[in-house]
Amino acid sequence: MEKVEVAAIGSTDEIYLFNAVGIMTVLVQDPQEADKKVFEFSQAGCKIIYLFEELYTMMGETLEKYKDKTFPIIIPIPSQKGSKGVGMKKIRDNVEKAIGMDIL
Amino acid sequence: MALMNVNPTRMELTKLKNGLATASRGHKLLKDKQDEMIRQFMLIIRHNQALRKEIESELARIMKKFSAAQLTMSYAGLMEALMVPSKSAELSVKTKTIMSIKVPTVEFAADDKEIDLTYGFVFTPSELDGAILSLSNLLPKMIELAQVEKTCDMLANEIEKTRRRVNAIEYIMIPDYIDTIHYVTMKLDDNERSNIIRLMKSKQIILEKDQRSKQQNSNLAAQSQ
Repeated sequence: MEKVEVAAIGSTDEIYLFNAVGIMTVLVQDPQEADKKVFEFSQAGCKIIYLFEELYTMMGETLEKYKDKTFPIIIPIPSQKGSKGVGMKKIRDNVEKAIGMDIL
Repeated sequence: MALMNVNPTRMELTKLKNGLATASRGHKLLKDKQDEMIRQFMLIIRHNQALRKEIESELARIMKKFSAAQLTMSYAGLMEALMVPSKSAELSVKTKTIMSIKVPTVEFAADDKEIDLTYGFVFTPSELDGAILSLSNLLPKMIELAQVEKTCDMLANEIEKTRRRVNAIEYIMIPDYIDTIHYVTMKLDDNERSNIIRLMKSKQIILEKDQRSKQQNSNLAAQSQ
């Protein structure tokens, strides 16, 4: 695989929009395929992987694997259907984990 | 409240006292580390929240434009327009250390000139141009979001770990040490007291014996006279 620094993985066509601005994009059918792609990208030295929220919520195990590593950074982004609040929930979870209560 | 499995000797007592001193020092250091990490975390998390809100609303807007473009174009035409990136997103990546956690710092290395669209404008709607240009403007912020969010993740995990350690030392290790030291001291004191009593008792027996033999001697002397 060629050198990729930023990648985006999505389950719908909108992901190709990111291709136009220089982000390597792949369209996947299911979380298993996305998991494989995440592995391939991380092996290729990819630094940031954007995942559509629908996939992000179904890939708990994969995310757990990369949790302690500095790279790749895997973060959720909303798809065309709009934000489901996955990103915000993650922020609130972090605050709760760190401080003990949600103060945001 | 559990005693450690130690022999009640002076040497163990010294060891335990040293252990307690180390545990207290460690507890203070870890607590300080935790406080500083929480301070750093609070600074970053608000920025993270604001950035995420902004990006989510902006992306929703871009996606809406893109859907409008999708409606007016054929699938093949759209794919053709999007397949050739005008530039590749390049990053300069480093790591920095916050309280001994390695967190990423990512900077968008591309020059901030607007990107050139790589397709002809004849068969593409203006919504597509708008979507791509907005997205390219948003890209540096998305990269910053990735960095900030990862930093928050790592800090939150480390804070949780440190808190567990602090609590383990504060509520288990230190009380155990204190209890064991108390137990050893009591035991040693008890031994000391039994020793004294034993000595006193022995002295009393010896004295009584002495007195008895003296009395016998004096009785014998009186009889012989």
